[in-house]
Amino acid sequence: MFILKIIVIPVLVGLSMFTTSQEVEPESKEGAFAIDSVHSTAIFSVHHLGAGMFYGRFNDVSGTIELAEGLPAFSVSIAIDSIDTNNTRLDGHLKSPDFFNALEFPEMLFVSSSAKKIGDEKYEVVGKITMHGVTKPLTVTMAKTGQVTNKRGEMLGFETTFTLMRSDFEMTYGIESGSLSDNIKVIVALEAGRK
Amino acid sequence: MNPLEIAQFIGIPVAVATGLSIVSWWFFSSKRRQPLGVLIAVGCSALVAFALQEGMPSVPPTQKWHWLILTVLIVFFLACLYSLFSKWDKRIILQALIAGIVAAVFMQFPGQSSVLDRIIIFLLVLFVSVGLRRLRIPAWHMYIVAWSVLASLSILALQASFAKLAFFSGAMSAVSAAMFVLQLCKPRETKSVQMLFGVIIVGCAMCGLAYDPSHAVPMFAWYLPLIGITIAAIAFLLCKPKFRSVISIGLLELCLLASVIWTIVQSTPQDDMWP
Repeated sequence: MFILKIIVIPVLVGLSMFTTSQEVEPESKEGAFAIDSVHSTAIFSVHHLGAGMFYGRFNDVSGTIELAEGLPAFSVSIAIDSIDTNNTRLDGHLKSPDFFNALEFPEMLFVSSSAKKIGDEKYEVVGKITMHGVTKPLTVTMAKTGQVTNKRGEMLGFETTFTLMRSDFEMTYGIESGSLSDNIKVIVALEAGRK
Repeated sequence: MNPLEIAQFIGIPVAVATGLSIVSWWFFSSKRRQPLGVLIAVGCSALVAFALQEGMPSVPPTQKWHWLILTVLIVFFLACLYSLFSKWDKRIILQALIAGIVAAVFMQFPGQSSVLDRIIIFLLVLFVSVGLRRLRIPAWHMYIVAWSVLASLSILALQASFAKLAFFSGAMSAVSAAMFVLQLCKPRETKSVQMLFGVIIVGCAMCGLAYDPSHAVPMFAWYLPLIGITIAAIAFLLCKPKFRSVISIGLLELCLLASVIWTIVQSTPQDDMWP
């Protein structure tokens, strides 16, 4: 009886704790999810002076992800004012009318219109991106990085990498002189929690 | 800013202004038509300076700062009309009032939509245009003023991380310098030109102020060059003819130096911009 108390009961208690804290598959894969601004990231890179790749990021990414019939729909907003290159003057220049014109166009927006599954947890998402007052169609490959239920509730994540041409959005500063490349590589990683 | 950009964004407008001015010596040779040549040279070079960076402006503009060139073009057409009618020559205040109203209505930069902002823009255009007219005696005097004021505004715009505005005001400063040289070579009548320069100068200052929300350039530094023109014009009127040119330009240069040095001293030198 003593052995039962000191060995078996703690083992059973420990096993039950382990089971409750472990991530489990979500009960439902449908519904709306709010993008977590803290754990979502938008990174961009541009070729500088034909030499190095310069990286910057946007610290404020928000919006929603909706799952319906196993397919995701995205509405993602990026606050231009949250641009961060670790250089305040450079941030100011990127917010000026030379580039994003943050005063007049304070957000970059992507709204998807359709999606199709193209592989294991990979989706081809078609939508429209609005930046610098110009709206263009955009097709991206979204990879689902996970969907779990834990102590924070039901969460999921997506990631995509795509390229934009600045000139398509009337953002031409430095292209002709070769200071900065026309194409920008963008990486967006989203984490969202069930609403 | 690199040499290629300077050659393109500043050199081409200067070449356009110089070329049109020289051509106008033959096409507008009569004293009555002479101002039209100068106006066309300055107006067209302003349009070229803007178009080289942003393309031809659309109506309504895609960005609010494009109202700068649209306002300049409206005042340019008005100034061309005035120069055709001799009875408008003496109506300096009325011309400046109309330019002020046009600027107050059309120059819609972000954060400057209140009635008070409209009144400030109107008064600035009025005082700067009339001030430049006072400094037009002799005509090269006005070009020196426009040259130095626009050069200082170009430096302020660069400090505010707005390179396109820096190039535009820099180009118009260089155009003023070219006009000054041409005026010395072949003196021409320059009626109504002060309105055009008045709107360009006030427009560049107010545009720079509007797109500098973090105040990288102190707010007063944007106004100081404009106040300097008015101070210089008053000094020009009050001083003895022998000294008035030197004193008025000296006072203006002091204001411009104070504005630029103040801005540079309070900026953070460790930070860098795109080249």
